[in-house]
Amino acid sequence: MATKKTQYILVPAAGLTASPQNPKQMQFFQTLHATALAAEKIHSVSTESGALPVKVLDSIGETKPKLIEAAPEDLAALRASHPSVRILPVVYYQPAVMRYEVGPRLGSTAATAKKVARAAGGISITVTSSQGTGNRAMVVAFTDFARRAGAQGTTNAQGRVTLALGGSSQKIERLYVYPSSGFWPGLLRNLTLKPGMKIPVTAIDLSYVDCVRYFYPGNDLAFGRGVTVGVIDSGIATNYAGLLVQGGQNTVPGEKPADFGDNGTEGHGTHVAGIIASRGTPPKGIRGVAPGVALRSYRVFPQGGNKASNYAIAKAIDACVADKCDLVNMSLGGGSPDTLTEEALTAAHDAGVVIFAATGNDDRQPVSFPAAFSMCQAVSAMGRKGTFPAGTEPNGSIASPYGKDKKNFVASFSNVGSATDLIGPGVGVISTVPAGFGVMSGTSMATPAETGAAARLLATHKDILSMPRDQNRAAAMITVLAAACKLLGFGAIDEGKGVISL
Amino acid sequence: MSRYILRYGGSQPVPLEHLQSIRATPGLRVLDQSPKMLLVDADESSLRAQLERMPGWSMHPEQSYPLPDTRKKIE
Repeated sequence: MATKKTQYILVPAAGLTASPQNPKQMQFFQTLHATALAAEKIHSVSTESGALPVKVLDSIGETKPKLIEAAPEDLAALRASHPSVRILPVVYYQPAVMRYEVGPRLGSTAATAKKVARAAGGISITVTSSQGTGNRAMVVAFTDFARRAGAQGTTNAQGRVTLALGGSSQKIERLYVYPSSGFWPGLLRNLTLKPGMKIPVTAIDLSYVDCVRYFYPGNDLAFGRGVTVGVIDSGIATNYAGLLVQGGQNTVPGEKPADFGDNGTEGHGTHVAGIIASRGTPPKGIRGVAPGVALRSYRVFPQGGNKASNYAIAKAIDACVADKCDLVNMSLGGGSPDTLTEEALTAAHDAGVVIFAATGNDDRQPVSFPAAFSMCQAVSAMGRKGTFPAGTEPNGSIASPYGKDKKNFVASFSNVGSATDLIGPGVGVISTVPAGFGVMSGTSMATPAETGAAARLLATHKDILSMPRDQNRAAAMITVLAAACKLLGFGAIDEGKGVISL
Repeated sequence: MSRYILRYGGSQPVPLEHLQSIRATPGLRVLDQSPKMLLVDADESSLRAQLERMPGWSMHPEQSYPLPDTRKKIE
């Protein structure tokens, strides 16, 4: 169903004036200018999916920004057909009047419930598997999932954890178990938790066909060869047999630049890297989507920390450009838009680099920054029924909309919106972590799946890879990727141009 | 004093005299440096006044982005 037309501003990828060095961009701006002066004001943009009518409401000048009107679901096609053009929302400013308003303080009920539970005592349970008590695991028991009320703890070496829930038994709406490695995260619903209960978890079988292996099967070690991929993240384990990290940089101020390995948190960057380029072979290892790429690690999260500064991120983007990365994966985001990161992303685009960014995991909220910025390929997450075992955590991410193939669904956690460019498999993904192998879900996982697919595809386009490193090269890469995308039937707001189909 | 990032937008290397001028800003401390950027701890008004005399520079407050995590947590 078409949504209401919305106003946007079209500006060149860099600056506010179309570049004579980019004939396609220049011609587009001149055409739209002429359209703005015409009576009908409608220009038909040629896209992969057909002609797209765009109403040009105003033009500042022949080569200057345009005010247009378009449907939000058409933006992905417009971006794909004109990658050197930024599409900005129209922003309205209001007087900065501050008013106090009456309303409940968010989280107060849940906080009170937690305090009551803490005071009342605990229930000890044990996380087990057919292979023993397993690794340490974080256990989260929700008595009220909507309010996020309940108790959580981490198991000891014997797999035991005491949850501050009070009483001798407690009704639990959802019980999540997140093992650090080696097992699928678990999800049990509507149970009564009693002392001494054993909670089973499922060991990871590396031959299992998860959603990434379903959409991108049979990956040859040569796939992606000739393409350099930078991963801006928490670092990649550099002593991992299945991962070949060819270099990188730690851009965190005050830390050693050469320390671009894992930062000692949850292994997020190592998991992301494994989805792109792990070179193992099941059942002893796992194979990424493009194992042949030259993989580089740019660590922006500090040692043991989970917050990256925009300085570290911009410095990492600059380093990716200097190191001649072709593609960059940014499975991060969620802060306020900042002009520094935008400048660095635009400079990367102008240097012929394509950047993939995760839309975010805020349960269908709008696409977060930096994915929402026009110079990024924003990737949302989907899952597929049958690609994760029963009783595991990915089952909690199943939600509508479903695709033309009803087994496919848009992940319940995925952010979506008109800024979405692509969708990738990101529910219950097996990949590398510093301690072995782990399963994670998120747009963080969907993004490297698409980065890997892009690398595989571009490795077959030497003509594009050998182009001068400028915005025309980035535009050519995006055009090739857009042409390979396949719509799964979720709708453009959820999937953009769809999934890269190889 | 707050932390700011200064980014040079020119295609040429950062002019040496610009770096010297920035470093001479009263109270300014350089915390990190890259080919195009400086992370500094400085007084905003002093820094803005200094940058107004040097074309090609932009100034941004430091901010942070969280490491993504889809694990459910008690709030």
